[in-house]
Amino acid sequence: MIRRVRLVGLAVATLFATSACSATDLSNVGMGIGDFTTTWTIGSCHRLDQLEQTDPLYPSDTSPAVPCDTSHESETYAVVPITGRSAAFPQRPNPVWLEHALAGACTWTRMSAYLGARQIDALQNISILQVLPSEPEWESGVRTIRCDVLIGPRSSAYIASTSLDLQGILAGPSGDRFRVCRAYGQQVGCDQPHDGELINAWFKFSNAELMHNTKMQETAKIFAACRAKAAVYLGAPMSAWPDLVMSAELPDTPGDAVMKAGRCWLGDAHSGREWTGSLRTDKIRRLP
Amino acid sequence: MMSMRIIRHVLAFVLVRARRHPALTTGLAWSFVLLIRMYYGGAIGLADNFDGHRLMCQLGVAPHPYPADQQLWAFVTPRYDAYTWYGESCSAGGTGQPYLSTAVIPLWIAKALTATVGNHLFGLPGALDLRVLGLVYVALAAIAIGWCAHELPGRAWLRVLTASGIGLVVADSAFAPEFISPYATPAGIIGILFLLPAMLRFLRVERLTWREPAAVTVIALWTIAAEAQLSTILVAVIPCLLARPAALPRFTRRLPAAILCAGLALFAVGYQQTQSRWLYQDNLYNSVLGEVLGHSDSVAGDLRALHLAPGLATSAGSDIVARNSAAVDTNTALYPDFLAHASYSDELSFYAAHPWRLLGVADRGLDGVSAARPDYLGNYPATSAGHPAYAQECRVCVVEAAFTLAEPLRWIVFPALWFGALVAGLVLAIRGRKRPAGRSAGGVLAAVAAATIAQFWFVMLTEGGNDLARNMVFTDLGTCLLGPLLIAALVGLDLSTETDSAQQLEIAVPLQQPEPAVAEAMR
Repeated sequence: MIRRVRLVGLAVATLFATSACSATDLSNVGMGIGDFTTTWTIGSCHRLDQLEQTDPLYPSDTSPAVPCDTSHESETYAVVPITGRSAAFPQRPNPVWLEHALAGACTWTRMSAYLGARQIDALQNISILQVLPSEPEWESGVRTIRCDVLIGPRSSAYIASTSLDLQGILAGPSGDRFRVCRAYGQQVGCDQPHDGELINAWFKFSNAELMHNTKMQETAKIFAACRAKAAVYLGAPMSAWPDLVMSAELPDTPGDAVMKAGRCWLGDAHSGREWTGSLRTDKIRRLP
Repeated sequence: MMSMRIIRHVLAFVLVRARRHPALTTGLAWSFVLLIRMYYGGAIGLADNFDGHRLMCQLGVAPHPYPADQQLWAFVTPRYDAYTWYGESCSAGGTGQPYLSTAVIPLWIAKALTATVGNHLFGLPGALDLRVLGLVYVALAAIAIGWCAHELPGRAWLRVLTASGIGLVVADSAFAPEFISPYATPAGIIGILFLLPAMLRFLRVERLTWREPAAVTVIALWTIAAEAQLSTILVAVIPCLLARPAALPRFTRRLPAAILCAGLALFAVGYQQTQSRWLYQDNLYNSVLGEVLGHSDSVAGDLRALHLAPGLATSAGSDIVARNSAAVDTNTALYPDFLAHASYSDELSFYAAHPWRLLGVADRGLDGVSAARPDYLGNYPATSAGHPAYAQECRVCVVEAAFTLAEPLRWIVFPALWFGALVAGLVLAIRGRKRPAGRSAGGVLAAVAAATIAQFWFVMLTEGGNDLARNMVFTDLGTCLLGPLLIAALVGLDLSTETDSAQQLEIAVPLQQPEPAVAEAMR
C-alpha cells in the first residue's frame, strides 16, 4: 500500500515537473514573453488582436512589430514626449492616473494627416491608442508615448484587422471602410452598398433656435451651410454632380445637451438607388 | 423491486468497504458526488469578471471569442485558445508586475489534459478548457476529503460522516463553481482542505517524524501563495506547529517548529511583496477613501487623523476609477500626496483611536459574509440551454439558504459561531492535550476559527467593502468548515473521555493483587 502511495506521489511529482517545464519562459514567470522593449518606429505595424492589449489598464505594448502587409490592428503615426508632472515619477504611475494625465497627448489632427484624411472627412472605426513605456523602460528613463492608429470595430466577438499600410489610406479607395455612409438608416462603411455619405461638419443650433424654429427652417439652415462644405468635400460645386442631393440630419430636441447640432449627408437624387465606394475618392462621376 | 435490491447491495458493499478502507471509500464516493454535482445536467462554473486574465494569460491562452451582444459576466466562458502574450499584456492588471499564484499549477495540468484527454475523449477543441480544470480540482478535493476521513478522530463510520460534512461544504454552490473558473480562489480552497487533515495528523500522532511538519509546511506554502489574502492561515498554522515539541533536548524542542514558522512568516511577507503596486494602491484606496471616509460623519476630521490632505474630501466614498476619484484628478497633487502619506499602519492607528468605527466595518463585512456568493457572475456557459444570463445554479444550495436566513441575525450567528468554535476548540485542545483525538480535533477547530476571524478582518481592513461577496469566500468557507470540525471535536472529546476511563482502569488494575490463577497465567 505504502509503495503504491509512493508511486502515485512520484507520478504526480513527475507530472508537476513536466508541466512546469512546458511553461513558455521561466524567466518571465507570471508575465508575457519578450524583453519588454517597445517598438518606437513611426510607420511600424502592430498585432493587437485581444481586447486587453488596448485596454488603458494595459498601457504598454512590447510585442514585436509585424510587417504592414500582414494582418495587424494598429500602426504608429507619431512618437511624442511625456512632459510635466507625469514625467517626474520615477516609477510609472498607475494606469488610471496616467490615462487622465496624458489624455490628448496624441492628436487627432496629426493622425488624420498620417491617414491622408482631411478635416471634412467623417471617419469611423478609427481611434487613437496611446502606448506607454513598459515599467523597465520607464525606470530607465524613457518618457515617450507611441501614438497608434487603432482600427475597429473591436468587440469580444470580432476584432477588425487589416493587411494594408494605413499611411495615406484615406486618400484612396482602400480607406472607404473607414468613411461613414448609411444604408437604410444604418451606419455602414462606404465600402459597403449605401445610399448616403456623411460630411464631417457640425451645424450648431442655439437653444432659442431649437425652441422656435420649425423642422423646415432647421433643414434650410443646414442646407445653406452644407452647400459650401459639400463643395469642399467633393472637390467641386454640387452643381457638377447632377445626381447628388443633400439630406439634413436635424438636431435633437432642445434640452438634450448631447446633440445641439445638425449634420449633412449626400445622397442620390433618385431615392432607393445604392452605390459602393466613397464620393470623395472619385472624380465627378454619375451614380449608378 | 429489483432495483431496490441492487441499491441495497451497492449500499451494503459501500458500507463494508467504508468500514475497511474509510479514507479510500470516502474519497472515491466524494469524487463521484462532486463529478455529478459539477457536470450532471451541464457543467457549471463562475463567469470571469476580468480578473481571470492575469492568471490565464500565464498559460499562453486567451478566451475564445463570444458574441458581442452577450452581457458582461453573464455566462461562464470555459474555452481558451492558444495565444502568445508579450510583456505586460500578461501581468497583474497591466502593471508590469507578475501575478503569482499556485493556481497556475492545476492550470498547467488542466492544459496538458485538455490537449490529450479533453481534445480526443471529450471533443473539447480549445487549448485549455476550464471544465477539465474542474476535473483536476474535483480529484484534489476528493483526495483531501478522503485524507480527512483518515485523520479525523472516532470510529470509521463517524470519520466518514464527518469527512462527508466537509465534502458537503465543498459541494455547495457557494464554493464548487469556483472549480470551473479562471480565478486563483479554488487553489486556496484546495489548500485549506488539505491543511485540515495535515494539521489533524500533526496534532494527533504520538511520535512526530519529519513528514508531519513537512506536510503542514508545504500545504501552508501552497495556500499562502494561492492568493494574497490567504496569509491569514498563519494564524492557524503557527500555533499548531509550535504546539508540538520535537523529540530533542529540553531547550531545543520547539526550535524546528520555530524555524518553520519563521520561514512561513518570511515567505508570506515575501509573497505580499510580489503583489503588484497597482493592486496595492487599488486596495489601499478602497480601504481608506472608500471604507473609512465613505462611512464617515466627519470627513475633514478623519482626513486630519489619517494625516491626509483636506482636498481628498471630495473623493470620500469613491473607488479608484470613479468620476470623483482622486486618482483621475491629474490637475492637483492629491493622488501623489495620498500615495505618499496613506498607509495601512495609519489606517490601523485610526481604528485604534476610533474603535467604535469598527462596528460599522464589521456590519458591512458580516453583510458580505451573509451574501455567500457573488450574484453578478453567471454560473452556466452560454451554450447551456434554458439558463438565462446571470443564472445562479442551485444544485447544492445549503450555505446560501442558511446564510440568507442568518442575515438578520448576523451579529449573533457568525460571531457566536466563530468565537464559540475558538473557545470550544481551545478548551478541548488544552484539556485533551495529552490525548491525540481531543488534541487534534480541538486544536484544528480552534485554528480554523481563528483563521476565519483573521480572514474576515484582513479583507475588511485591506480591501474595504469592495466586492465583498467574492472577497469573503474564504471567510465563508472557514465558517462552514466549523460545523464538521465541531462534530469532530465532540467525537474527540468523547474519545478522550473514553481514553481517560481506560487509562484510569489500566492504572487501577495493577494496583489490585491478581488472582492466583490469573497471576499464574500471566507468568
